Amino acid sequence: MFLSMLIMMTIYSSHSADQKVFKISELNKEVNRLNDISVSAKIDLMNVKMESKVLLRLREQGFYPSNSQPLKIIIRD
Amino acid sequence: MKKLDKRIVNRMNILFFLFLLFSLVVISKIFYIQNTYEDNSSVSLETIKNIEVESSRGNIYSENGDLIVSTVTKYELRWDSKIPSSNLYESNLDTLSTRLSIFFNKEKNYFTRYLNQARKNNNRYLLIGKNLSITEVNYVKSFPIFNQGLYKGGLIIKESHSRQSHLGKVAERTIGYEKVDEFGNYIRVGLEGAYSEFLAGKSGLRLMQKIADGQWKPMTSYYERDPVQGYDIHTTIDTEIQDIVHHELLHQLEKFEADHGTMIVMETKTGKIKAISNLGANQDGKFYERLNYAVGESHEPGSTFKLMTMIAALEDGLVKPNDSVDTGNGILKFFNKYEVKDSNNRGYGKITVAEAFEVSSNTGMVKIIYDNYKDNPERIVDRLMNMKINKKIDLDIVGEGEPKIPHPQDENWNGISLPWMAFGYGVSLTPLQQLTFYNAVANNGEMVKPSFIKSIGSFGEKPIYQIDREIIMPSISSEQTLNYVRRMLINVVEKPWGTANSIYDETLRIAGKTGTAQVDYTSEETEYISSFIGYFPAENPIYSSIVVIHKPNKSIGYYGGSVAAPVVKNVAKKIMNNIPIEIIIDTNKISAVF
Repeated sequence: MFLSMLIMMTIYSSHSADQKVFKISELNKEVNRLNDISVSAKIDLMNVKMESKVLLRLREQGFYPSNSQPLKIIIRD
Repeated sequence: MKKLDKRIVNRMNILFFLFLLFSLVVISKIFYIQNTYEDNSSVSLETIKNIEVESSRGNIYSENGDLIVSTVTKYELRWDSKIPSSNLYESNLDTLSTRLSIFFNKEKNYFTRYLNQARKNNNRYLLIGKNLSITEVNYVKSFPIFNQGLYKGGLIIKESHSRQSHLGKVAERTIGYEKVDEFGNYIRVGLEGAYSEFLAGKSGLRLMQKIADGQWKPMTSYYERDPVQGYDIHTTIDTEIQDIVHHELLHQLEKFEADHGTMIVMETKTGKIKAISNLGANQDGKFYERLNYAVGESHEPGSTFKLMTMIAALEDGLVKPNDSVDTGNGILKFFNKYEVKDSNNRGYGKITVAEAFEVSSNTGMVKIIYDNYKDNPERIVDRLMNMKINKKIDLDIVGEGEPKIPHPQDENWNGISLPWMAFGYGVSLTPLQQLTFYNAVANNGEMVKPSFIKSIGSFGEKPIYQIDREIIMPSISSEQTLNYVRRMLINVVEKPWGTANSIYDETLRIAGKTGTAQVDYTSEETEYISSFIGYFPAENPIYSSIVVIHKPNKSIGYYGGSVAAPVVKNVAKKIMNNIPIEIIIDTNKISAVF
């Protein structure tokens, strides 16, 4: 009886270890997927903020690049 | 009762006999496998082995923190047309075709036909789209039918990993790649190739046990050999400046129907390359990053070399900017055969040395150099070599072009070597080598090494390599000479007679020198290389830049001042107009008047 209990426990722990490997594999896939989404969003952001892309979209609305440097006024007390 | 017992015994005997037979078969099969069976199949029976655990390759970042190159997962979408039920398919086909047509920018009818045809032919692996990002996949997955998943909708998603430059075709040659050819040789191009050993990392080993087909479980909690992730490379490239440079250069190459061109923007004080673009036309006249002309293409610079010879003459105390030089009618003859001509075909008469430089007079420069050095040509060549013009920059990127400055002791040195050198012929430099020299003039004489790399390291850890700037030479010439030539470089743009006066702008001072070099000048069909090297703002330079445009269409234009210089101006304006001028107002010093 004791021996069969031991065997049962061994089989259970072995299966549980296998399940964990599958779960880790699933979680790794999920991490990679989320990482892909994050990288993809960053790249999209990098591309849309490029001057050439912004110009292309704003030109339709009549906006053009400034011809002179902007002025930044700093007031000190 | 006895009869019944006998029947049971007989049945037991049959059962016993069957079990015996089964066990005999099993035992004989075991015996056969153990002793005589030869495994000819390719299926591996191995269940425990050391499996290589791949390290992930490092990323390449821009100076402003954008991810330029990384290993990305790309997805391919396929469709099993047999899976969706007729009801699901018929009721959603119209919407699905509409959504696909909008997403892939094709006709709706195309998709309706495409899907119907697949269903008719029982296609179980119809290609829907490839090279898609995860966000695109998630979007397509939301379409009708596809949103039912694999078992009801039939959408199959396959993933693959590849190295990708997120700037696309922009700076493609400089960012580079590493690949293995059919003979197993590594081809390493650009930064990806030059720093491959840092990016690659080291693969690890782990003892694994097979638990299912394609599934292996680690047998130990540790690695036999730990995998080491590749380092990240932080470059000096600024993606925003790179974008501006790429589009401005492309616009000019298309406008002048040129063969190819290159542009570099470098930070004056540090030598950091902020942007580098190399565009060459293919057979259809479309421009692509084909070769790294900026680093690899050594060519005769023409008039931009006049700065080097002018510095030599001023530094040797042979001329002063206000000395007079007679350019005559714009033609000088050597050995009654070889002519030096001014570009205006009539000369400029008597002008000052500085003006000869500013109008880019070939005859003027030849007179300045030839008259002063003809008895001792070694003196100017040694002076040029002291300024390290003949030395390679020694970049990590492979393929740097060889600089060439002829020496009087060379076998092929002849009577026209010196006069031709005065206006940039018979010498050869790459665009980056020329820019390094001009940048030294902008940087108060200090020659800094151009760099593409800021640091190498892992995220959150101290970098293993970090560089601010590397000095090639503390000073290329005396301060007085630098002041003289800096004035001349400003005049090239600001004086009405300057060759780059067309780019003069009141709001941004640019200094520089134009170049219009002839190529194939021995043949009938002379072509030109138009160039401009300069820095901005002229009074306190932040960036220096070079533009070289090869073989523009002569009927549209070919002078450095009209083809190359406007590119530098447009780029300079766009860069500087992103930097605000700070005005500090101290309220204590303001008194209100009522």
